[in-house]
Amino acid sequence: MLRLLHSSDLHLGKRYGRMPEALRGRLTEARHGALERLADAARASGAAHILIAGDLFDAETPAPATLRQGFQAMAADPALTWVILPGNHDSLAADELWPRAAAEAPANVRLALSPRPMDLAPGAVLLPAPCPSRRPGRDLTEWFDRAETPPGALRIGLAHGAVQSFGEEGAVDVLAPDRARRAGLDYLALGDWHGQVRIDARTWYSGTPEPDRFLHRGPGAALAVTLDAPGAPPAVAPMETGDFGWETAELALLPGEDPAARLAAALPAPARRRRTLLRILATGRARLPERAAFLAAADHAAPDFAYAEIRADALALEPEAADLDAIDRAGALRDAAEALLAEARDPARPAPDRAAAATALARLHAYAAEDADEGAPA
Amino acid sequence: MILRALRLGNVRRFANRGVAIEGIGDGVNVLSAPNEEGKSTCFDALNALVFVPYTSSAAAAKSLRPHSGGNPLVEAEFEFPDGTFRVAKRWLGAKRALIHDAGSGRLVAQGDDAEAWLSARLPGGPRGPAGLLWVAQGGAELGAADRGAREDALAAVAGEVEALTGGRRMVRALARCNEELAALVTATGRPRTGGDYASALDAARQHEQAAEALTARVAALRDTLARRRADRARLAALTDPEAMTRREAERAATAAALAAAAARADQLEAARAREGLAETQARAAAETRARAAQAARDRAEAARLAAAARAEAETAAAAEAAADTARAAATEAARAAEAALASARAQAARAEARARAEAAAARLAELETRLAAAEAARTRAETAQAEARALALPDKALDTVEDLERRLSTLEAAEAAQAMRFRIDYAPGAAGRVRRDGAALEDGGGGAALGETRLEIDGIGRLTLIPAPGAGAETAAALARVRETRDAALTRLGLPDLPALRARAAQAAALAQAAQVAAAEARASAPDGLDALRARIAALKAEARPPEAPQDAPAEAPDLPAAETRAAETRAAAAAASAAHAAARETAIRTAADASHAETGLARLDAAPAADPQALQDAETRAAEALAAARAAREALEDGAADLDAARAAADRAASVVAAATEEIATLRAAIAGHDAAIAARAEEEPEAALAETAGLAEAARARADRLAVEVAALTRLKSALETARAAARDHYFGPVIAELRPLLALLLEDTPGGGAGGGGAGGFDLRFDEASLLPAELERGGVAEPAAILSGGMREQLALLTRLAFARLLARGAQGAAPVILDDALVWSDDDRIERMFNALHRQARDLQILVLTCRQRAFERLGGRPLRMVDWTPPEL
Repeated sequence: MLRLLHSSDLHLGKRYGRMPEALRGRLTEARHGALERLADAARASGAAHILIAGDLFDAETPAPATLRQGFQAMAADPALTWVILPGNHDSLAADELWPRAAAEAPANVRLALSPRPMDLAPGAVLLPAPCPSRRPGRDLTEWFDRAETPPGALRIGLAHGAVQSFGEEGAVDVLAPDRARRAGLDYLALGDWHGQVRIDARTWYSGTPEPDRFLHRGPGAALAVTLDAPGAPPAVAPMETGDFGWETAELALLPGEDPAARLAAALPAPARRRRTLLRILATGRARLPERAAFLAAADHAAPDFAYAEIRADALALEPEAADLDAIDRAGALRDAAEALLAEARDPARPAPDRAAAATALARLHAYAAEDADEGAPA
Repeated sequence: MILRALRLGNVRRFANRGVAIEGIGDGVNVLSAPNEEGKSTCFDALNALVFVPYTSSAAAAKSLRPHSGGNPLVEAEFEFPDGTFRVAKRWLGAKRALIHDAGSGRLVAQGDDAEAWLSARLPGGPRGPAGLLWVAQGGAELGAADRGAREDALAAVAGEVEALTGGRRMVRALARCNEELAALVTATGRPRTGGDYASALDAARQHEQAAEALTARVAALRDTLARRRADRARLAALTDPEAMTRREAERAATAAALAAAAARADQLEAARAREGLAETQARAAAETRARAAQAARDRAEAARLAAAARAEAETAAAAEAAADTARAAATEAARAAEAALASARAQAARAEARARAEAAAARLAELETRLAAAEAARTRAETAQAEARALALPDKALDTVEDLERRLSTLEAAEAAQAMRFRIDYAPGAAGRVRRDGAALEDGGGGAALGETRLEIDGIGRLTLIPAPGAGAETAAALARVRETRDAALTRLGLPDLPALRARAAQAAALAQAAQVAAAEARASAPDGLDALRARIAALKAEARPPEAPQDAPAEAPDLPAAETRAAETRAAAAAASAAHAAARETAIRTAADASHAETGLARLDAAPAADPQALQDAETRAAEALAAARAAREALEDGAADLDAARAAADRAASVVAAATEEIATLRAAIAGHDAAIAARAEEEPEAALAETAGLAEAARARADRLAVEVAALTRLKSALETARAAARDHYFGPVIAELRPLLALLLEDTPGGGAGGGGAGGFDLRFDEASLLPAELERGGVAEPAAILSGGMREQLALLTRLAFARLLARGAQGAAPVILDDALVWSDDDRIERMFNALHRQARDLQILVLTCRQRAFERLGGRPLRMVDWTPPEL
C-alpha cells in the first residue's frame, strides 16, 4: 500500500496586484504557508510522499528567497519526500531555476526533470511528464503508454496540463483524459487546474492548496491518495489546506424579495469572514428600493471580509410606479425618472447608454430616499 | 368664490362692537379709508376665517383678540355657483364654526364639519392655490413675498410650481448630482485633478507604465537567459574534446604540409634564377651579333650619305655665288634710281621756290601800293584833325550864342512892338526929302521910332521923335544886357557875329569828318596798321628774290612720280635679290656642314674594328643551349610541386580555427559569467513576479477608472435628464404666466423705450423669473437686460403686483376657480401716471377676478373707479 499526497499549482512567488495593499502581504504569506499545511495534511493522511504536479513556482526565474524559503519549508520534515514536476509556469525552459533548484534542493526533495520512470518507493514507480516549455504543443504523457516498469509495481503518472482544450478543436497539447487507462496507471496526478476535479477514478486534478482567484469554487485543498495494490482502485480523499477562502455569493434577485435577507443567507459564517475574500454578484431583476437595499446590505457586510467585491452590473432594474413615486409623483423629477427608465429599457440604445441610464435612475432614487430619510420637506 | 360681505365682532380695535363691509361686488372694489381705521384688521380677520381653524389657539387666532379680551368673531358671505353661504367662526372662547345658506338661513354645517365644508369649497384646501390671494401692505415688492399669516398670491402658487419643476427636491438632486460629478470631472468633462477619477486614471497609467517597464525587464531577463543558453550550447560544442582534437590535428597537418611546400619552393626559386641568367646571356649573344650586322649596314649608308652631301654642298655654293651677283646688280640699279629720284626732287624744289618768289613779288607790289595810300590817307587825316582842333569851339558855345540871339530877337521884337511907328507919304514932288540917319525915306516908307529918332526933312528941318519917359525902358535894358552878353561871347570866341560863329562851327565839323574819312582810308589799306604792313612788305621783299639755279639744271620740269616709282621698284628688287642671296648662302653653309659631318662619321666608322661574324654566331648558339638546359631543370622542379600559397592558407586556416576557438571559448566563458551575474541580479528583483503584480495593480486601477467612468456617465446622464426635465417644466409653467403678463406689461411700459410692443427680444420686453420667488428676476427692454435689483422701487412694486395678478388670473381660469385678490396698500411707490396704468391693469384682470383694494391714499385712488366700499357698524348676532 502506498499513501501519497497530491497537490499542484502553488505558484510560489506570485503576488496579488489586484488586491488592496494591506491584504497582499497576508495572501502572500498564506501562499507560502501552504507548504506547511501540505506537510500537515500528508502527515495527517499517513502519506510519506507529496507529489507537486507542476507550477510550484509562478515564474521561470523566482527570487532566490522564494526558492530557498520554499525548500526550507519542505526540509522541515525529513520524513516526507517531495517530488516536484516542472509545470508550464516553471517549465524546463527555466534554465536558471532548475539548475539552481538541483543545487539547492534538500535531500527530501526530488526533481522530476526528465520523462523517465523514477522509483518513488519500493514497488512504486513514478512516470513524470515535465513541461519542457510553457506551451509544449503535444501530449507529454504519451510516453507513459510505453513506459516499462517492474512487474507488480505501482505505476503513478505525474503531469501538468489540460485534458480539455478551451481553444480551437483538435488541439494537440491536451492530455489524453484516459491516459491512466491507456498506460495502465494506478493513479494519474494532474496539475494546472486550480479547482479540484475528478476526471475518472484514477485521474484527478488536486487543485491549488491556496486559491488566488474567484474562478474556482471550494476551498484550497490537496488529495490524499491511497494505493492499496497495483490495479486496485485508488482511495482519493480531499484534504482542505487553504488559509483564505475565495468565495462568490451570487444572488439572483427577483422583485419583491428582500435582498438583505438573501444576502445574509448567502454569506459565510462570521467566524470565517476575516479570512474570506468575497465576491457578491447580484443578478436577476429588482425594483429601485431593492437594488438600493442590496447595495446597502452588501456595503454593510463588506467590512467583515478580508476583501469584498460587490457587483450589481448584471442586476436589471424593474421599477414599479411606486418606485418612481418615491422619486416624485409628478413634475420634473418624475419626468426625468421616466426618461431615464425609458432609456434604460430601450433595446435600440447601446448597452453602455442603457446601463448609464439605469444607474442614473437608481441614483436619483437614492437621492429621493436619502431626502426622505433626512425628513426633508418634499 | 366671491366675497360678498365681511363682518367682524370684537376683533382688535373693534372691541365690544362690530363692523361690516357689505355689498362687495364683482370686479374691482375699493375700501378707501385713513390709517388706523381698521382696514387691515378686516382682512386679517378674513384671512383667519379662511385659513385658521376655529379650534386654533395659535398666534393667528390670538392676534384677533382685542386688548380688552373676549372672543373674536368673524363672519363672511361667499358666493359659490350653488349659492351664497355665510361662514362664521369664533375663536379662543365659545369656539364656533357655522355655515348657513345665506338665502334660506339654513344651517349647512357647524364645527369640524364647517371646517371640512370650507376646505372642500376651497379646491386644494385652505392652503392651496385657491386660497385668498393676498398682496400685503408693502409686500408687493420683488423678493419680498409675505409668507406670514396671510396667504400671498405667490405663496399660493409656489407649491404648484414646485410640484411641477421638482422644486427644492430637484434643486437638491441636481446639487447632489453636480457635487458628485464635480468631484470626478471638471465642467468640461475632463477628470478633475486630485479627484478619484483622475487619481484612478493616473494610477492606471502609472501602473501600466510600470508594467511596460517591467515587461521590458522581463524581456531583457529572458533575452539574457536565451543568450546564455545559446552561449552555453556554443561553449559546449567548442569544448567538446573530440572537436578540440580534430582542430589540433588539422592544424599540425597543415603546418607540416606548409614546411614541405616551402622547401620545394626554395629549390624552384633557385632554378628560376638560373634560367633567368641563361635567358639573359642568350639574349646578350644574339644582341651582339645583331649589333655587328647593323654596324656594317650603317657604314655603307654613311658613305652614300657623305657623297650625296658633298654634291649637295657644291651645288649650293654655286647657287650662292649666282645669287650674290644678282644681288649686286639689283643694288646698283636701286642706287641709280635713288639718285634720279633725288635729282628730280631737287629740281622740283627749285621750281616751287621760283613760283613762290614770283607770287611774293606780286604781293609786294600790291602791299607797297596799299602802304602808300595808307600813309597818304593818314597824313590827310592828321592834317584835318589838326585843322579841326584849331577851329574847334568850346562845348555848347554855338548853342549859347544861338540862344542869346533868339532871346535878343525876342526882345527886339518886343521893343519894336512898343516903338512908335511912322510912315512917310510924300507929297508930290517932295519925294525923298525926308531922311533918316542920312538915308532918304521912300514914299510910303516909314519905320519905327525907338528912342529919340531924328528925321531930317529937307526943307523942313529935323523932326525928333521923343518917346514918352519910361516907355520901353525895361525892354531896352534887357535888350542891352542880352546884346552885351552875346557880344561878349562872340568876343571871347574872336568872332564878329553869329553867322561867323556858325560858319566856323561848320568848318570845324567838315574838317573833323575829313579826318575821319582819311583815317578810314588808312585803315582800309593797312588793316593791321602801317607798321605791320611795312614789316610784311619787308618780308615779301626777301621772298620775292628768285633762287639761284645750277648751271646744268634742265630747263624742263622733272617727272617726279615716275622717278619715285622707279626708285621703289629697284629698291624692292634689291631687297629680293639680297634675300635670295642670304638663303642660298645659308643652304651652302648647311650642306657644307652636312658634308663635313658625313665625312667625319664615315671616318669614325672606318676607324672602328670589325667583328668576326662566325665567332658571334657560335657564341649565340652556346647561350641558347644553356638556356634550354636551365628551363628544363626549372620545369622539372615545377612539375608536381605543392602550391605554397594553398599550403600556407590551409595552415593559416587551421591555426586560426584553433585560435578562434580558443578565443571564442574565453569570450563565451566571460559572456556566460556576465549572463550569470545579470540573471542573478535580475532574478533577485523578481521581474516576472513584479510584472504580474504590477499588471494586477494596473488592471485593478483600470477597472476602478472604468467603474468611475461608468459613474461619470451615469451622473452626466442624470444631470442631463434633470436639467432637461426642469427646463421643460419651467417652460410649461412660466410660458402661460408670461403670456398672461405680457398685455399687463404693455399697459405699464407703453411709453418706455422698448416697452409697449410686447414680446421678447429686441424692440420689445421680456421677463425672466426667479424660480424660488416666482417673481421677475430680470426685465429685458429694447434688448437690454436689467436685473430686478437695479430697477426703481416703483417699477419693482408694479412688476411684482402685475405678476401676482397674472398668476391669479391663471388660477381663476384653472380648475381651482377664482379666489378674491386682496391688495392691501399695495401701490406705495407708484407715481400718478403709473398708478393710473396700474388701475387699468387691475380693471383688465378684474374681468375674471374679484379684486379688493384697501388703501389709505384716498386721493390717489379716486381715479381707480370700481365699487366703493365702506365700513359700517354691525351688531354681531349671538352665535
